[in-house]
Amino acid sequence: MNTPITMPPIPRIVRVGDEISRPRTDDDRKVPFRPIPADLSSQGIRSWLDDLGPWLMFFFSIYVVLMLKLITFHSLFDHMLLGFYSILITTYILSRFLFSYFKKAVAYDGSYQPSVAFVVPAKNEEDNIAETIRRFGMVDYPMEKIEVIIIDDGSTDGTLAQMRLAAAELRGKIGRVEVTHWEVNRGKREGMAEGAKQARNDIVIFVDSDSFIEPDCVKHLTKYFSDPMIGAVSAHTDVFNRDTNVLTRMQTIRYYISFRVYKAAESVFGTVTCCPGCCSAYRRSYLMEFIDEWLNQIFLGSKCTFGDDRSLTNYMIRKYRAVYSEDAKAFTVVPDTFKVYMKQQQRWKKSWVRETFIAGSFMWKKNPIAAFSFYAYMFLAFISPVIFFRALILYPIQEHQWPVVYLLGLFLMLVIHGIFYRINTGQRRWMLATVNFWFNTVILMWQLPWAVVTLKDSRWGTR
Amino acid sequence: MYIDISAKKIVFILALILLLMISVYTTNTEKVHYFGSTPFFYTIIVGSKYAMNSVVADIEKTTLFAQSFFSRSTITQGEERGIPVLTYHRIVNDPNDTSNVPLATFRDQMQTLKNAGWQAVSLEDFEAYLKGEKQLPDRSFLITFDDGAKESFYPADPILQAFNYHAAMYVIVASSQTPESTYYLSPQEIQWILKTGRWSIGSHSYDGHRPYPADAEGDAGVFFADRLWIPNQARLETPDEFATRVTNDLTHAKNALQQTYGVPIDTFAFPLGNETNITGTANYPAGASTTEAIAKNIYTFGFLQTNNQGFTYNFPVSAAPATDIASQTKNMLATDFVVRRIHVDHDWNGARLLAILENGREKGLPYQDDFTQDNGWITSWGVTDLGRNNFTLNATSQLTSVASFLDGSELWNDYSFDMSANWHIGYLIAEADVTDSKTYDACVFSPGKVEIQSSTDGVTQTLASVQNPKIQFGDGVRPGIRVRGSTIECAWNFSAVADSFARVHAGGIGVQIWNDTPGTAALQVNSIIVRPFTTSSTSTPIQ
Repeated sequence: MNTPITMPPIPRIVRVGDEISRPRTDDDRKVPFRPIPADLSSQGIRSWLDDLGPWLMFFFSIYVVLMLKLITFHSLFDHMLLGFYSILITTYILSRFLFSYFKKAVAYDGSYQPSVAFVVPAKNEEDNIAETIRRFGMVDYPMEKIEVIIIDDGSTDGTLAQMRLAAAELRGKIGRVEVTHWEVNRGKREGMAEGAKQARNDIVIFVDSDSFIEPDCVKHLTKYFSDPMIGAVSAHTDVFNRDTNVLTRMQTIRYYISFRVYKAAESVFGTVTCCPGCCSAYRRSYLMEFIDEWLNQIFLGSKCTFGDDRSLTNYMIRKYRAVYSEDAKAFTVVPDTFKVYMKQQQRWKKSWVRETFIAGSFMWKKNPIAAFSFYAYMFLAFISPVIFFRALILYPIQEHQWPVVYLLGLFLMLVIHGIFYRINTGQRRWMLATVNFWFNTVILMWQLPWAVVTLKDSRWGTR
Repeated sequence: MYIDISAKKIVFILALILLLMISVYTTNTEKVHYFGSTPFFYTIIVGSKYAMNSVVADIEKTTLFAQSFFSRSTITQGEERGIPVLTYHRIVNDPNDTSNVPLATFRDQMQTLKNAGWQAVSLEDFEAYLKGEKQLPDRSFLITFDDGAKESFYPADPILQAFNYHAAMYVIVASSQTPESTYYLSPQEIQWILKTGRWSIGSHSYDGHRPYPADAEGDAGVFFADRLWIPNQARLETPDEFATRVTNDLTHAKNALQQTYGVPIDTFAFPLGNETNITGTANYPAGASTTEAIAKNIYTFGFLQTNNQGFTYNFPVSAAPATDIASQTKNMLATDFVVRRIHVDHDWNGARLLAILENGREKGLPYQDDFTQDNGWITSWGVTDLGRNNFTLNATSQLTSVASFLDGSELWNDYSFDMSANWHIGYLIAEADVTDSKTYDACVFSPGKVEIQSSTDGVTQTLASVQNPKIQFGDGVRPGIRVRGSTIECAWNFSAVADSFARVHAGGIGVQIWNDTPGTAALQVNSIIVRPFTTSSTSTPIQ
């Protein structure tokens, strides 16, 4: 469980949106992520004791949450909506942990090695694109089975030049490397579709232009496709710029949990609703069945220009299955300022609202537990702001008291997430990030209702 | 489904769920066991604070115990002569709460008393003492808390624990059964307080502590003093119905408490007057005394506030027949049924409470008082003022007299009481043999005349009347009264001017001034001296 993650070599400057992070020096290059222990057995004993405290805290937090439900039982009984919400959300979250625990691990079978095509649409990503592409040449997979399709989607900086440079380096190892240049920006969806159509190999792996894959990512993605029911596989994406500030550390926990707990729980039923664009694999033959429909998707009278990855996954799971691979590791860069983070979250919420309604139209046909979980989550997500409003605004006004139980319950749930992260990654600095998580959840609770209200507005569509 | 259902995983999860369920269940049952239906959040907050304070109290208790080995005790040993009782309600955090004592003040009070050698005894010991079955050491007192509130116990108990003090909790039965109360102690919590060994319980009525309608408009009446309104018959209850109602409540309370807690309930604290903040309609003047009479048949002792008509200490019952003055006085001072309690005010610091208790202790003879401080003068009616080297008495506009007597003097016998006074109006009454405000022997001085009077419960008998022209108004006049054996003698300027041989009991000293026009009586006493009639310098107090 605690496989040490080696630090990928660091690109010179990491840039997200318009913000510039601190430039990293050669010294950073030398410091490893986590020291590799010399003696394996001593590491085993040490890590068991290391994690004992967090494990106890983890189960104690669950105990406290259950006690809170018991304590507030009467008031829950009196207020049906609140009671139902309270029980449902606790059950839902604990069920995610439970299902992810029972997720079946798939072993890599060397005899099954389908051909793969990397598709990278990019716009104005001159700082990271070279590294992204370079890594395709370092994967632990037969090079003759790999092709790389890169699209320059109307970049106004040196992206194209960087692409061509990296592509030239790759050509020694990889047979086919195509670079497409579009003068005018057409949007990510067009780029992805173009890349998928240009590809000739069996499995298309979409990689974001600011994401970096690990060498064994490919084989851990492809191993799932031996099952013909599988149409898409999501990789496990971690946050690359974890240590920049508390905001990035908080997002690290969020990413980790959303993959290792929530996607894993969905994966048990093959109904992962979003294989994210940072790194996901699709079976090309199935993809071609609906790629034009997806490309021309219209919602509320206008063409969809955001939420491309979620939308594509939804098309796939209508007929096929989408799963999650915890072994396929990739890294992506996250916003390190609150303003950029808030905008990103708002964008994601809009795509979530749209796609969830669409998926809701067919999810009932799937496995009953998966369907129930899906609709439960929809209900919880939309009711949360109402409960939040009642707890933080109505209740203090009416009762002249802080909503201690609500905030404590919320905090405990996030602590459970934080401890889970701590246990599985050994990262000690999780508490402050959890507090930040709680903070951000509270202050961004308005985003979902706002997303519903501004659903038609596609101004924030582009990245 | 892409699921991995291995036996190992299933067993682990099931064991985990079982463990969680057991933990939650056990937590709940434990909480109910100790706190009853008290809400969880209260038990967690108050319970943990109490647990911490108890630990600290234990440490303090041990430290005090160790210290006692090393310090020489300056506390006088001896047996108690009368015991005072203190009344508290809740111990609160708000220093502006005028009805309840703040925690810091309570702490100061207990600490000061402990340092001065006072020891709070258990209710059982107190009852045994009053019944004459047990002797208690000097400086013993009883602490009582009324209403059975959570805030009576949780803040106070650690302090009592540290000082090895006992206390008594007066429980309103109906209130203790309030579900999910954060105010009253639940039955389970009362079990707990009994288990600590520091607490006893008594009755504070079954449900007589709240307002009941006492007229057609629904004005609040006092359950134990007013005739209540019967709505469906649109009339006031009759005196018989009052008596029945009170009897039922008192009996029901005693039985319920004895049954629930398995301890004898012999004492009753009257929920009346300023203990309920209900002023009542006063539509039944005989109400309070009727209640008292009924309570006397059900309980052994009844607690009432001190009312400035009697001494603050409580004395044991006397079985011996009144064969002489000493035993007669003992009988008169003895507790019949009513035990008087001192209500502790929220702004009494430790020093003040200590002074009040010390003032009630038996004073030694000879005794001198120049009124630079209050040595325990109890003003029964009228207005008195002291502390500036004299003691002034002034009648309020409705009253014709002012009366005050000295706490701690009730056990005196065979003494002479002389005072220096500025007297310009009315009848100057020098009292001796005071056992309460209406029972005393007195020399009544008026210009040119002196009378010896004996008052018993307000009924006055004149024993002698003598004319003497020396007795006149003036500054620095020196009236006096001497009591010895069966003699009562009056003195003016240290020479005897009248006597009587009809003295039947002893007691303390007091002063009264009377004038027939209301609001005019006034007197200023400059100093007093009381000397014993023995060869030794101490009195022969009542044994």
